[in-house]
Amino acid sequence: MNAPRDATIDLQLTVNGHEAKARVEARLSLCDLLRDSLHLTGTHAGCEHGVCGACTVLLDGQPVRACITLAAACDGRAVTTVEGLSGPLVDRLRAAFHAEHALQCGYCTPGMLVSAVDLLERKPGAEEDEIRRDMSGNLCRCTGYVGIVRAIRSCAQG
Amino acid sequence: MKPAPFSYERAASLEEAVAALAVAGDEDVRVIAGGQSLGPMLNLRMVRPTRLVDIHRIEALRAIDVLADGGVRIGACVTHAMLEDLPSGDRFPPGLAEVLRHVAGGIAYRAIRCRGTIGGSLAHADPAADWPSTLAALGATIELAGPSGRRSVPAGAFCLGLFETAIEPGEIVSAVVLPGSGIRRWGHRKHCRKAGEFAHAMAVCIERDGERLEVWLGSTGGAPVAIALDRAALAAIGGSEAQQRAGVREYIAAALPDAISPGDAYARHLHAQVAAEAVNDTLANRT
Repeated sequence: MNAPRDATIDLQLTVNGHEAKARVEARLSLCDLLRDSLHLTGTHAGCEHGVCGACTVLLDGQPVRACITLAAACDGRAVTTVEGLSGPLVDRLRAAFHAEHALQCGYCTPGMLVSAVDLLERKPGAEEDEIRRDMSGNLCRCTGYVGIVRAIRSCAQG
Repeated sequence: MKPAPFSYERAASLEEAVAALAVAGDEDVRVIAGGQSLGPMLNLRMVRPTRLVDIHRIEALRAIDVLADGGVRIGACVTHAMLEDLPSGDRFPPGLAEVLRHVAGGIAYRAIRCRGTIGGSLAHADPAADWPSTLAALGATIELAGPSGRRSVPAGAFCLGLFETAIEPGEIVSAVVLPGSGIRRWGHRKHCRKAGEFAHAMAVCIERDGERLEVWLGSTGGAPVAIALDRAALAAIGGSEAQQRAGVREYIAAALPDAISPGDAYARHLHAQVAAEAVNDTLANRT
């Protein structure tokens, strides 16, 4: 293998409303860009192959796995991490996660919150079975699913 | 869990992407679109390309067009989420949007569906992927663009085996074209041990007026497999609803091709069961 070692790319993107510039290796993931270059360590790297959901962030408003999204692919786009989530729905989710004991170690929580915000924005009246199915891409190894589902359901309408 | 180094270029057009795929020396060049299959393989270093050509920003590949003959052309970089969210009241042939919405919405998780593309899923040809069997049953054709121009391959002949397709070196999947004839009834079922996990068995059944029932199995470990069902024999299965469903299951278990998981009674049972559910959903219009 004669892989080029100088494969760097200059990026400009918006992260949580702020302009960010970085010179990155082509192989760098969005997750590592956020954590190591921009010091936004709320986004957690779990499985690093798209299974666990801990690294879920919003890219142009849509949830994506930051571990299997290349930083280079995000040039010119807008990223929202757990640090940048805001608004009435997010306030209610934060309070509900607290009230329902929806976290133990907290490792999965950033991804859970990002996925939950996306879920409730698309399906404001989601019932429990729908919440369980739609949140199935976020793993909690403390097995706190009952509290997580209850917290999200309490923020759904109806 | 980090990829080996590679260089990266983003193509602005299909022509640029095809030109970028021209390989020099010992280069290993891969196309990346959503990267939801290639990404994990890069991180696990199951693949170590020297260069990636990113096609996900090519606008022409993100279009969904209704054609003059009533067919539908879906660009290769249309995401599963875009198909999951197809608006109602479109000009699609009857039934087609429902099938696409259902199948797309069942692929992995929303965060994967927002990046993963229909063309990437086909090109990757994972036996557990949903599109290879579904598009074969829908009678789709796959458009390929390469250095010597464009060509089309029927979806049923596109996947050749495990991660193996009809794509020639230097070619890119550019679109999927679906026929304009309406779908009367359909069924799609899969068996996953966990919601969103890779399926262990998958079946799709498409019924169109005056045509044979298209029943295709996915998750076979290789290319999708069609099963030939006699509509008259199916229609002759009588009795109560439960007896009819059981009759269909028996008929399909007997019709399951020998090539499906030979010697593995459990896997064959799963495939037959899932196929029977898809056919029963179709016949009962329970979809």
